[in-house]
Amino acid sequence: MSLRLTEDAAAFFSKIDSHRIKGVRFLDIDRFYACLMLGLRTGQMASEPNLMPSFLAAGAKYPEAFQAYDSYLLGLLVEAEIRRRKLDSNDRDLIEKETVKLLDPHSPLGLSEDGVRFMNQYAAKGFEILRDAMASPRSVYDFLVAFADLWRSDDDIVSGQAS
Amino acid sequence: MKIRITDWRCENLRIGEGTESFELGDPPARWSLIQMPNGLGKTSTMTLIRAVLGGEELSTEKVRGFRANDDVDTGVFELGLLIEGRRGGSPKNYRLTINFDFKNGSYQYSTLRSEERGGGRELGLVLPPDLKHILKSEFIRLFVFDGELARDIRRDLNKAAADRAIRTLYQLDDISALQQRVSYAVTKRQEALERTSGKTKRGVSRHQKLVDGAKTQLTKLENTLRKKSSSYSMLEEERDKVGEDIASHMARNGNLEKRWKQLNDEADDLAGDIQSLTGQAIQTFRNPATLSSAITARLTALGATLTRARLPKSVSSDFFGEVADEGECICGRPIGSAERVILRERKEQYLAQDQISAIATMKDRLNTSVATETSFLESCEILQEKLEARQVNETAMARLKLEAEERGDDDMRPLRKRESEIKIELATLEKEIEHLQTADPVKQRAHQCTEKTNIPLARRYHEECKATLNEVKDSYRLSRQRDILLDQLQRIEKIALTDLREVIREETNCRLETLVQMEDLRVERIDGVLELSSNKTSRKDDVSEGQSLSVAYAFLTALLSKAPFELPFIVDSPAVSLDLDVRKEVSSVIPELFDQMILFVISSEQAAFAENFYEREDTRFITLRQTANGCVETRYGLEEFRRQSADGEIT
Repeated sequence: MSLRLTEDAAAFFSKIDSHRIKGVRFLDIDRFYACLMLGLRTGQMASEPNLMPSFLAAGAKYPEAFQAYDSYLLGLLVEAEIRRRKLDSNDRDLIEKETVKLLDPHSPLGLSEDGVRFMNQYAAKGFEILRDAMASPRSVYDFLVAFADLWRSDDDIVSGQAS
Repeated sequence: MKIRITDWRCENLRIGEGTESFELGDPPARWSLIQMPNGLGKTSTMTLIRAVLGGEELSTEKVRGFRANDDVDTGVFELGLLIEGRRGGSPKNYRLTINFDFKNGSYQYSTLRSEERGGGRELGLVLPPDLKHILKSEFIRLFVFDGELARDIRRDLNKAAADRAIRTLYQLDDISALQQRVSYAVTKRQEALERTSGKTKRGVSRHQKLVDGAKTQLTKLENTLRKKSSSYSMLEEERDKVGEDIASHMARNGNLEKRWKQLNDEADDLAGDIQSLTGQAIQTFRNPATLSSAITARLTALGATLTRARLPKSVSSDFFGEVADEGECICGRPIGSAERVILRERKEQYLAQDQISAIATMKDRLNTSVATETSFLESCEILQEKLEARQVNETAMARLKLEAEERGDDDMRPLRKRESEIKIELATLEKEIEHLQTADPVKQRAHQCTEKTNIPLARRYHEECKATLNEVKDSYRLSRQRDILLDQLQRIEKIALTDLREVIREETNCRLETLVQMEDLRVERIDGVLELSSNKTSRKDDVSEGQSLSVAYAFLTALLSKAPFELPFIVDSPAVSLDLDVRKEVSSVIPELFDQMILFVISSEQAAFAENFYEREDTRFITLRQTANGCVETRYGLEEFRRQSADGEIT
């Protein structure tokens, strides 16, 4: 099991003309990550997303561009789960148990099967938010600017969806 | 391969006294005459010899039919064989056994082999494979033979039975089995094909058409791509030329040239800035800590939570595992087995060291996640400014061209118009080229590409069609090869059978020359019944009992003598239905036909038959006789044998 975009998300990003940006590649994991961040922020998961095959090869780690941030991604997943399940953040054993449930130090992504599944479900929910907020992007910079707007001005909307 | 019977014995069976042993000598005598009055188990013995040789299935009723009396629950029949392999060497002893359970009517075959280390009994009949192959019940009946039926063998041995005997004995069944295996292997191979079930010539041509169609479509798409790419390059050249023309027209308009140059330089700078800012924005986008201050806040809050909760716990399950393995605790108290069990059970409540390390790493990273770099939002703000500036620049350039046109440059209008058209045409071509050549499954799906419109999909479809065609060709070739092979095997089988019939017929006739000296009796054909002729008539259907028996024995011995196996011949009541003249004739000839003969006789067969063996060496005489008190005795030797005859049969 690995990270997977929903079919709709893959289609949504398919119009991006990335070859116009020299020296920069907008990767599949960038698309997944954009959705994931919105999903984690809202603290909601899609129940049964229609997922594409994984964009990572079987047993692959995070691509190099993301390897430095794997702890952050795990931390954000733990934090989102604590919020989603309304866990008492002062309950030491509970937080430890929740963290252990999501991590697997021996897996390529450092995540347990539950951890990967939850990531995919958060990303699927994040895509729904993204799709409601912007049109299918045609260039990387257009996407980045629109995505930044979402974070800049969409705080209230995202928080509203989370509640 | 030479097979001889050494002995048999029975326990609690309806043979003789119930528990009997019949020893045929060591090595077994060539002729064994066993005189058993009717009712003492001749038929049971023959049935059991056939059963144990062929591993026959026995019904419950049949099993219970062998029971000596109601006082016994189990019984045994054991047959001793001496088998000499094809390559010679010392013969090996085999003991084939049937164990009966009369209560539930069941039985079990087993084998004891002398060469097996330890001499253990093996379940089932374990015989040399060549021998086991021929030991089928119908064939066994030809050498464990009911003599009373000998008269009728010529009539009863129909074509199918004669052929089956020849097939079995000369292993022609192997050819039939090979045919079945060939058909099975081909069918299995064809069933295993992933892509198609086609295996006919028609299937091949249908799939060839599909391959040709796929190839044509691929070539067509590749040609279209070449044309569109060429058009694209030409349009790019034209766009550059129009750009140069516009620039030269601007140059003719005094102060416009300077402004045009400025705008162009600005456009170049903006393009470079947008490139580098996009790269920077992506870098900040990928780092959650720089993506948004809200995320940073969540990361640091979680770090603080973990720190406050003193997570991860510093003691690992590994520690308690190690303590449990030690003789005493770190406080110095001894650790007994009870404490050890508890320590090992409770260590599961603690995390493993690698889990602790992973959480500790995460916590450290979270606690140092304060963004010190430029944030994503800042990068995007600057990027947006540049994008807006590019928009302003493009508008200014368009306005400048319009201004040149308004100043009376009549060429500028068509140049502007053409520039605009080229832009649209290039965008259209770019889209069409992407539809044609994209290999990205997501884009293919988004553009609803098929093998009719997209080159990678058309190429894949072509490859699939070729693979399928190859499978169909292979399958078709396999079918043809199978048909040729089966045809050859059938021919071999037919020729072999015909030749063998002829060999056996000739051998039968040779034997008949000795057996029937009064008349030149011959087997004309072995096809259907044994068709006879004589020197007196071309077709002889009406033969005497003696002649019929002679034909039967001649045929059987011919059949067996040419086989790659030397088998014993066991016959029950060989002369009981013959008149004295015929007996004399038969008994003088048949002893020479086999290397081992076991003859079950009754007292009435002594006259003119059994007595002809009295003078023969290498003959064993066994007599079962019922005593006055109702017991059954087994006696060896000629004297007892002759005496029984004199006493007459007790029925």
